Amino acid sequence: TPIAKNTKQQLPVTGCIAVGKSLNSRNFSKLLHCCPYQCDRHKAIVEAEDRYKSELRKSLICNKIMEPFGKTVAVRQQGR
Amino acid sequence: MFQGQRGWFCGSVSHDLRQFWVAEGGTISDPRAADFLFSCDASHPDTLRIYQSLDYIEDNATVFHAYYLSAVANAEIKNSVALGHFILPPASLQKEIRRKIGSFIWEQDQHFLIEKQDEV
Ligand SMILES: [Zn+2]
Repeated sequence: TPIAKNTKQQLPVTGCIAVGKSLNSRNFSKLLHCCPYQCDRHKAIVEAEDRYKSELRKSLICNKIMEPFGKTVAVRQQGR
Repeated sequence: MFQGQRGWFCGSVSHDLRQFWVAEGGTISDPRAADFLFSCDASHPDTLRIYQSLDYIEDNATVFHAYYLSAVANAEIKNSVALGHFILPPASLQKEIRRKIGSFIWEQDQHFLIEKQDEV
């Protein structure tokens, strides 16, 4: 695998090339999203997953709003 | 290689691959605490649960195909295997992704993951 050199500042480069133990299931998605360059492969995967996630998010919020029907609106997202 | 890392394994992952993880210093944990989420089947109920979790929706959980581990096991330089090649997206997305990019790396690579390679 060729090593792409990015100017420092910009973290570990593309999702294809970045290797090493700093990557894991917790940080990978965020890292990929702020990748300055994504190959077609990763772009396709990220786009599809993002769409899936936003649909899921919508349906979650929807359920929340419906459930105490009335004027209460769900406040989620920032609970942590 | 995986010293101090916690891994969660979907029921679809073979015993051998889990064993390799442990042999390389990894520990097995529940999905909330895991640093790595491994699966061999995106439609397995265990993995579906991940795809429906808040962690996943909020970009805090990427599922990787457990063939990553066999790629590591077979690589000459263990940490030269790019984890990013082994993203396992939800099953419902795989078809459309395949239409764009062809087969997934873990599908293509299977022949050389199985350290045979008698012909090219
Ligand atoms: Zn890529």
